[in-house]
Amino acid sequence: MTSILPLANRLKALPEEGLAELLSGLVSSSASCSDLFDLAKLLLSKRELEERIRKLNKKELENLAANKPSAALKASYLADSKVFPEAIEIFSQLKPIPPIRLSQPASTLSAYETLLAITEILFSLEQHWFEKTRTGLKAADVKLIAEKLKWSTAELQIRFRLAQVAGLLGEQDGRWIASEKAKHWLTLSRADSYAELVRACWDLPKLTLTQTRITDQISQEYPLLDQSKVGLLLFGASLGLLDRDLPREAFLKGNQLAVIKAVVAELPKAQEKLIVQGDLSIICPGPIDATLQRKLDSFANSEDLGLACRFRLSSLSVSHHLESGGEIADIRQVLEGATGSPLPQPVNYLLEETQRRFGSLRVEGGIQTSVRSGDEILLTQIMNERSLTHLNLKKENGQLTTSASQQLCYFSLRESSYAAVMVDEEGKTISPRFTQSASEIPADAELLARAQALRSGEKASADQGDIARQLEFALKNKLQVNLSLEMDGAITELLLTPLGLANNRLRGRDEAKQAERTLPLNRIRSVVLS
Amino acid sequence: MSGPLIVQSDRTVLLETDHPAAEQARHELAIFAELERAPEHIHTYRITRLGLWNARAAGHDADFIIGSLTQWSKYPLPETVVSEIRSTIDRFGKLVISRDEQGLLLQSQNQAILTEVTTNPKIAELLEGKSGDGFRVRDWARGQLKQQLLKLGWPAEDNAGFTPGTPHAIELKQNGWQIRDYQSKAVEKFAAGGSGVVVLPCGAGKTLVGAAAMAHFDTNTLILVTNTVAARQWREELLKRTDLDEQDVAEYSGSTKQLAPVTIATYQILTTKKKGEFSHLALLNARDWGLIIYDEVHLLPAPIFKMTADLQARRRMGLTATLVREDGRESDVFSLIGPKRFDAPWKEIEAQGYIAPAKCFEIRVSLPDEERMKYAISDADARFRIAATAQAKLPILRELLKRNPTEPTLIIGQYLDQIDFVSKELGIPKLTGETPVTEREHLFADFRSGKLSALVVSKVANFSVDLPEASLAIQISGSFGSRQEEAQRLGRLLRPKQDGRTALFYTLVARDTVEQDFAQNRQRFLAEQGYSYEIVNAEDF
Repeated sequence: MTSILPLANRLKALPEEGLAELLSGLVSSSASCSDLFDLAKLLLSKRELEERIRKLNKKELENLAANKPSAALKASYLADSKVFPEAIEIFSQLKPIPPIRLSQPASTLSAYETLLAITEILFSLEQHWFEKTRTGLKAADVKLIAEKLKWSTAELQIRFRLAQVAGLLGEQDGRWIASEKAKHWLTLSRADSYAELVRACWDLPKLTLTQTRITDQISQEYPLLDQSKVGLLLFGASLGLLDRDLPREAFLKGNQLAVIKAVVAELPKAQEKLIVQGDLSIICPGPIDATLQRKLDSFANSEDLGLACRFRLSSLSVSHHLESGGEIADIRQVLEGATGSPLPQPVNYLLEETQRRFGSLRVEGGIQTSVRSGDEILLTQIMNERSLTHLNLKKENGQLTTSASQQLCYFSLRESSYAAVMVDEEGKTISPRFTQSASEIPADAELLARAQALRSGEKASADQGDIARQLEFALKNKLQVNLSLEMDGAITELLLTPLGLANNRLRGRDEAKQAERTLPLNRIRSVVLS
Repeated sequence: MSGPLIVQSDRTVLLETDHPAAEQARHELAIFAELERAPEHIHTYRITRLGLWNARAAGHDADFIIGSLTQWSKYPLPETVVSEIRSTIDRFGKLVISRDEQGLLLQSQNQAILTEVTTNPKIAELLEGKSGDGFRVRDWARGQLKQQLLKLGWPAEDNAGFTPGTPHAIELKQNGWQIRDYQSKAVEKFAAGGSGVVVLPCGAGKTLVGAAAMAHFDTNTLILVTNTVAARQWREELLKRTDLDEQDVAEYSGSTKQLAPVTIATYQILTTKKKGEFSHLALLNARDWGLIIYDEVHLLPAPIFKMTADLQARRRMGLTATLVREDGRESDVFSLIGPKRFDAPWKEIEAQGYIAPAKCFEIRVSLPDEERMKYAISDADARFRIAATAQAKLPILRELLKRNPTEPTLIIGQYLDQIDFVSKELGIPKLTGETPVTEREHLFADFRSGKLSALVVSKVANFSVDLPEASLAIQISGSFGSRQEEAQRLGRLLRPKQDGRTALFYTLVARDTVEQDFAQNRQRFLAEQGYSYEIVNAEDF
């Protein structure tokens, strides 16, 4: 006899918040669960059981082996009045996974450098088209940022993943962009932004740490745990908590608040002095203040980031500031304020020249993207640019047109050193900064909604209007959907990534068959966002 | 802690030059770190493995280096830097190259390391076989062995010494002039290290550093220079500044092939091939040279690198103003000629009054529509040349000459047709690689004497040409983004002027073209030495 029924009964007793919390801990998708019975079935699947068993400490594993339904086993949905036989069976098949090797060194500067790196990543996202790949970023894109920090690409990738885990990154049209959360994160002090990162990956199982190898300590207390899934191990060195596999002094403080406090105390004291040089470089001769870094990042390119930082002005960087809503006066104010002296002649020249030319090369969206300028020769030059052949630009009525998206065209022109700006149909400049606001989904609210749906035993409403709305929502946010589809009198379920919605038809990618399909909307009986 | 240094985890060290302790900190830093940039306020040094091993070779241990950094640093040292310094220093000297009656030996007290390196195929072929507790090194392989060991991260302590060479007494004749402090220091550092490179700004008297080194070692010396004109300048300078007489100093070039205790040869003659062989290579061993001087070492051609690998028993001195090689072979200079022994920021020498102050200007010239369209429809390769040789530069050139009628002027270009055109249009004699040596010497002499107030020159005048009175240079085109060319061209103006006036360096750049982008890169080295460019619109000029 399976344990599905007793487990489903237990789930029924859970409040909606408890159910939402349980859903958030699942490693499999709960999208196919139509009621609590389905959820119980999912919880007793091999994958879910293994996930929960591997997180048990030594004592609980002994209880599991001895069929003793301890409170911890019950809390892990592995037992009620007795241990679930499915759990015992899976446990008997599990073997320990060797501890991971942690080789990243850390010092008192690691946390500070990570904050610099993530800030840099977020600002780079609004100045470059960083394509979203399965592994995160393309090697060339990683290299672009890593060089500024004199890091290896692997070191930078870790910080990128940390930013992802912390919810600072989003996706739009196949490219990475900063999320709304990132926008807020960038306004925080160094101490608060550090605390946010720690909170986002604080997942170490309960353990009293000592100054010996952390991986050994975990193996001893949690013999079956898959250490490669522990965020604090992966990001520990980047956060200044681990030096290779040894906990640093601050990490031994135990609780999250005390640990954060200890590392924050190590952050180097920031200063706001700047030196602006005639070669258009801006030097910050000491740890840079978070606010100052953000200001500089908005109008200068960083070249070297570390305990001291070097930035450089260019016509592209200044133009970026203007298109993001800034003014030349802001730049002067920041630089003259922090240096206490007049700006060198080449800097003044650049600011005036960029201001004068700003907006003279425009990229307009629409059915076709067009590149406009009053300078015909410039357009001819752009059309002949080898680095822009992928845009397949055509000259029509004194402008260039392309079928590429407005953003792709804009970023491509900038990569080829043309200070183009995006404009709307009224000719107003569009800021390339933080364009994801509408597309984020509040994860907690979504889980709660799903918990409610499970409790009521209903799937999403079968109303056709609702189906279309949900599909539009999924399409906009690049979400996968589980569809119930009526075909030849039978109901079929399939997992689909929507690609388009038009003429009462949904076009999408069938994830199981890895093929594109077009489905009539009137055949879709229900939609569950996944 | 409130010192002038900031030590970063990428092993760069920033020095705040305005700090009261900057001088003391710089003095110690120079022992183990390489100066990378020296603009006005913040100088950047880098702690490299080579620099650390160099310091260790000079007798400084890890405690000294870490102690020095700690003492002068504003912030605590990154732990990673400390541990890397210790582990890097620890690797030096585990292997020793020495000499006994039978020849060279590679030895180590650590058999594991000796086994690791000697089983490497590239090293094994440089060894003859086991000898006692070490390995016998092939006679010619000392340089290559050091190179390979360095690549493996086990730098050898080279105790095999240098051949003293055939003695030849040389003395400086300091009548009416005196060797400068920095020149003495450069020789002192070089002598202590045995071999290596001295980096000094153009016009700061590198030839005298060479002469002083010759006087220090009193030995037969071979001087390798870039061209015949430079060879003759060296000869004149040596005859004037030392007690060497005419028959002591010989020229070995395309036109004259003589040998003497001091022989000056050109790179070109050494790399000339006959029937596929370097026929003048024998010169390197024609005498028992105790010192070889490589002038403008940043231009050392690849075959000379290879030959130099076989000359490790002889003291080698490299001289240059810019140890920047556009081909990225700085590390070959390090391992074959030797490490940088002395370097002084340009602005520091300028402040001492030994090189002329200079003002740099970039004049942006707008191309007329016809030239712009030609540029727009050309492919990327042709665009640079179109921009660089734009005829729109000519009116500005005329205007500059009109405004500075009395300044001895060099108009420097890259393209021969452009040089021809400018020379004809302005009626100014030209000097290019095609100009015969005697005619070149006449033109230079007329320029020096003031008979000629301007010359249009190609890249042959980029270096090794001593035109002390030149005070205005107008760069009309250049070799893409070459930083060293830019520095060398400015260098033509840096001999101090008798009336102390400031030299003027103008670069004409076609606006909104790749030439403008390349100009930025060209200016990097000088900007890092503290030179600032004023940007001027040709229309406003």
